[in-house]
Formats: sequence, structure tokens, C-alpha cells
Amino acid sequence: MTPSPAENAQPDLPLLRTESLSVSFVNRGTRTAVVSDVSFDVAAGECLAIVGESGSGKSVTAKAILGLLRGTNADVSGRILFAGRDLLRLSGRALDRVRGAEIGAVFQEPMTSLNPSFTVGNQVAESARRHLGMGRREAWDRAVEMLDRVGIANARQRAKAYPHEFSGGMRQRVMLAAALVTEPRLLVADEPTTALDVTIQARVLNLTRQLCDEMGSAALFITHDLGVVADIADRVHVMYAGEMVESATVYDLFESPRHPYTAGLLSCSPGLDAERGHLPVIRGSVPQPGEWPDGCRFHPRCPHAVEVVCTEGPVAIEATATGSVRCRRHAELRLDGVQSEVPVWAVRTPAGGH
Amino acid sequence: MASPKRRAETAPAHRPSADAGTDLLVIEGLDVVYGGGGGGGVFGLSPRTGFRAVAGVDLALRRGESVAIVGESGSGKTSLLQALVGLAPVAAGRVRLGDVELTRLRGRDVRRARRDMQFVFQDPYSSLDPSMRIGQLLDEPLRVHLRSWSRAQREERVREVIESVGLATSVLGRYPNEFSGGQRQRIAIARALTVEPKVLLLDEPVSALDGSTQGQVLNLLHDIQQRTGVAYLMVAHDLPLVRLFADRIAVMYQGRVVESGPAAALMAAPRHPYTRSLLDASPLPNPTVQRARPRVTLPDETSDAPTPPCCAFAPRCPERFDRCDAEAPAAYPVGPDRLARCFLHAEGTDALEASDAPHA
Repeated sequence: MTPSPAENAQPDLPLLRTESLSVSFVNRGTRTAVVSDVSFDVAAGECLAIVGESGSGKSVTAKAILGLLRGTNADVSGRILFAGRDLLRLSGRALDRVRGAEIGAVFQEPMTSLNPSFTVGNQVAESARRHLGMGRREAWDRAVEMLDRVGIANARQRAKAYPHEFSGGMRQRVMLAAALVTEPRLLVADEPTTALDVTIQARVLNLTRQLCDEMGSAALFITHDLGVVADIADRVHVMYAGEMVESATVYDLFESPRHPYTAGLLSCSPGLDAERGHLPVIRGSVPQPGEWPDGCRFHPRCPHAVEVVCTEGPVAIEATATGSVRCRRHAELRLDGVQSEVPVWAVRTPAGGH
Repeated sequence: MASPKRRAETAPAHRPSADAGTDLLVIEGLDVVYGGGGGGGVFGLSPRTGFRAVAGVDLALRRGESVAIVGESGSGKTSLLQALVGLAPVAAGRVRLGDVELTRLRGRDVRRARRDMQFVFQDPYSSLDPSMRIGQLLDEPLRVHLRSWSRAQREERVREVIESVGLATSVLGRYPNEFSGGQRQRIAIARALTVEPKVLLLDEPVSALDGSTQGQVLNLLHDIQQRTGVAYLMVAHDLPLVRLFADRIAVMYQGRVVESGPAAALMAAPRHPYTRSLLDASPLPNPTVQRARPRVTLPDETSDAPTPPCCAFAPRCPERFDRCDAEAPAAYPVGPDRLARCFLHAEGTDALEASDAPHA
């Protein structure tokens, strides 16, 4: 479905824009910030990946966008503009209409996301009935069609099965079918392939891209896996300790990272060549919320950190020629991207060869 | 066997190089069957047959060597590892560690033998008792296995081991929840090393860790091996990652080792179509290269198991031909120290090799 510009109150706005999105959790009077001042855009038809390690705030960002932090101890501030409407200001009922009809969601654990007491066809059809106003029979046919599109063989029969009768990869494709059955304008996927085997991950990634292309939907892909990012994203935001530290197109980010954390993550990727016993690492570990250092939050682990410049005061995110970066030394640093040589394992030789 | 005390004293020294190359751990025809024998059938399985999670696995581990068992969920890799320490039911086969046949031991002898083979679990958040201080956690295996040691001896050993994994002795008075995932996994490794095992069994030791700290733990394991000569048998699902760790790799599919060989050779030119599929499906962190790679995806694992005799991978295999449905392949030699359980490599079938695909 192509969104008509008339639907947007402000036509110059992207499909999704977050402005200074901040989230903190309040526990017995103590406030812990987990996401600080995150601003980004997702254009219609684009796939944006948010990359980060545990504790970076990437999943909380996704939850805030989906309104899943409502009624919890989270304090969410800033603006989340979807097609011109601020999702944070919508009533619960209005948000329900947007979520499902216009925003689909897929999460990491396909077993806990599906209801074990309804057939998979039912759960896909429910989306169509609620959000597209279809009748029972029409919604069921639509669900079967969607299950077929996500590659469930013999979909008309299998739609009558229960989630426990499906493997993890099939369940995740059922989730994808339920999220996409309404042809949403935005798909939010939080680590959708992390619990899957690689052969199944490849299928789910191919499908997601293919379906988004067909429907013109945008995707917000949350992941920690740079291989997945390289496969699916148009643009990438890197998060560290609750902040965005770098933003660029997928090619610029991998070829010429501007933030030392991005460069560090790239060098640590297990898919790339490295010498045994001397694998590249980033020293130390990710600081948890509440333990973020002053100055640049990455400075205690950064090989390029210098006193005062990096250790004092909050660091602003600055625009560069190709994106933006939160590093006071970015103009003077020359950081390595991924090598252009292909590691030997990724060169396809026939299994039958000698 | 040397006295415990003498072994501790000689710990930091290199093992005699004469040891290298000899088989330390030998697994022969190992079967793990769940739900077999007595008891009622569960999950619709007949009580008599049960579920054969590991089917006739042969594997050898040499002194000071690292072997990785790779496979997807349900391949039986973790059951295999657990069977070695009595955490999964062995239905058939033999396991020999040094001169001792583990599958025949009973009672006290089991405990003595287990000292030589210690386990490191996947999730350092659940494998360390949260109510115990790090010092107590490291002391526990010593108290179980080295009962003759004095308290002072044990304390000295605990301090030595915690330093050997790159942590300060000041951590000994603290609790697991005060540490990050990477630090906890160091502690779990230290705990396994206190009794100086000959073999460390590692179940996905870095998959619960952040990408930036995985390398720290793998480098540490490498250093420890250089120093002590301990052998590693590691289970993992990520082939591109394990090649940075293992000397040899065994790929498992539905309970069987379908391909094995030296890590570098196997990664450069896999001989089993399943290994090839695993590598093709592993995304490469380089968008230019990744998007130019052929997109090959396997069909679903069918819910109804193929009727034996046949190759277990046949229903999903891109190279399947008539013979694959008619009989089960043996493990055929496909190079120095390499085996592949695939009819493409059975004698006389070399002519079937694909000639249009580019060679590396």
C-alpha cells in the first residue's frame, strides 16, 4: 500500500520521526535513564536498522514507538511522529487503531508472542478482522493467502494447526504474516531472527525484504548482528549506552565508520578474518544504565580517548558529509572499515567438489 | 595418576610435547536416547523406542586440541556434550578419557574421572549460584574433588585461578550479580579450571555475550590452552565464529556427524551440502559482498521424519539424487583427516560433481 500524501497532516514529514525521545525507568523514587535524546527519521519504503549491544536502549526505543511502555514504570518524553501524528499523545484506543493497521510488530520470541490456544490461521485472521474490518470467512482466506506468502507449505491445511505444532522458524513466519496481513506502512522488528537457526534466518530476512518491497512498507529493524544489518538495511543507527552515536547509509557505515565504537564493533564481527588467540576486542564491557560515565559515554573503552576532550561534558551529535556522529575527535580520526576481501568461507565452492 | 598436590604444583608448566597428537578423549558409536526404556511415552513417542537425539557419533579429541561441534537447534550437539558428563542418557557406545572407560564406571570412580572433564555452560547468568560469593563458587569443585587439600591450599589455588582468567583477587568476596556477562563467563571458566581438568566442555560459551566481549573470552580460552595444554570440546551454532577458535570442526545434523575435518580446510571447501548451506546462510558483515552473494535457502525441515533407510538431510538437500532416498550414507573420506556423510563422495560418484560453480 502506498501512503497517499493527503493522509499526512504535514506532507514534508517522513513516515516516522522521533524527536528527542528519552526513556527512564522510575523505581522507588530512583530514576534511571535508559534512552537519551534519540532523534531519527524513517522514510516510506526504507529499512532502517538500529544496532546496539545489550544495554544500548535499542529495544526500549522500539517498545516506546509501539506504545508498549504505557502503564509501566517508564517515563517517556519527546515526540514520536508517525504519519504526522504524535503517538505519545494518542489515546489508548486511537493508538490501538494505528498499531496493527498501520504499524506491524515482530519480536524475538515467536513462542511467547503467539497465543498457544488459538490456531495460527486464527491469529493471522484476527489482525485482518480487527484492523481491516473483514468478515470471518474473508479474513480467514486472507490469512491463508498471507501464510502462503511467507512460505508456509500447504497453508490452507497448516492454518488450522496450533503454534506448538510449528517449529521456531515457522512460528516466526506466522508472526510476520500476522504483522504484514494488514499491509502496514511500518514494520517494527525487534531481533526477529536472533532465536532462529541461520538457514531459517536467511529465509525470514529474504521474506521481510521481499514483502516490504512488494508493499512499499518501511521497516525499523532492531538487531545486534552486523551480518543481518549488512543484509537488510538501507540506513543504520548505532546506539551505545542509551544514545545514538552514529548514523549513516549501510555502505558508508561499513566502509568508513566515523565513530570509534562503530569501528570497534565492525572489527569484532566473527564473520571477518582474524588471527586465532588475537581476536579484536573492545576493552571493558558495556556499561549498564545508571553507570554511564561522564563525557563521551564510550570514552573508558575507546582506544582514541584523550583527557578533557572526551572525558568532560555531554558530547553533541554532529552532522558529517554522509551522516552524523557523536565524537569530538571524529574530524581527526581515520578509522578502518571492513576489508573488501571476501573471507574464504563466503566464497561458494560446490559441496561435491574436490 | 599423580597426587593432587603434585599436579597443582606443575600446573603452569607446559605439558610434555610428547603428549601432543595422542587421542585424549575418544567417543565411539555414542547414542543418546530420551524417553526410551521404562516409563510411559511422552509427546506421542512410543515408550519403547524413545527419541534418538545422538545417533552413533564417533569423535576424538587430542591433548591440547580444540574441537568444535557445530549444528542447528535439534542437531543433538548439546545432548552429545551433556552425555559425556552424565547429564544426558547414554543408550549405547563408549567414551574413553585417557585410559579410563567412562561408560563403565560406577560410584566413586565416576567422580574421580569427572574431575578430568569439566563443563562450562552457555548462560553465565544462570550457571552461577547467585547466593554464593565468587570465592565460594571457585572453592566448591576443590572441596568435592580434592578432599585431602587443606583450606590454605584451596585458597591459594582459587587466587591463582581467578588471576589466570584476568580478574583481581578482590572479586572473590563479591556476588555474581555484581558482574557483567563477560566477567561472569570468566568466573565460570575459572571455576571449571580450579581442579585442573584435562578437558573443558564448553556449551556455546560466548553466544550469550555482547559482540564486543566475545573475543575477550575466546582469546582468554586460547591463552589458557597455550599455558596449560587443556583440550576443549566446544558446542556452537555459528560456523564463522568457531573457525576463529577450533583446530577441527564436526558438523552435526539430526544426531549424526555429517562432516568433520580441520577447521581451515572445512571452511574453505565444505564437502557436505548441509555445511555448504550453513555457510551460505551466515550473513557476512559487509553489505557490498553480502548483497552479491547468491541467496540460497533451504526448504523447511519436514515434520514427518524421512523413512529410513535414507539420508536424514535428503528432504532439504539441494544435491539430492535417487540413492539418497534409498539408503543411508556412510562417512566417506574426503581429504586428509576429513569425512563427509554424503553420497556425493561415495566411490565412483565423483562424476556427479557440479562443474559450473566457481572454485575458490
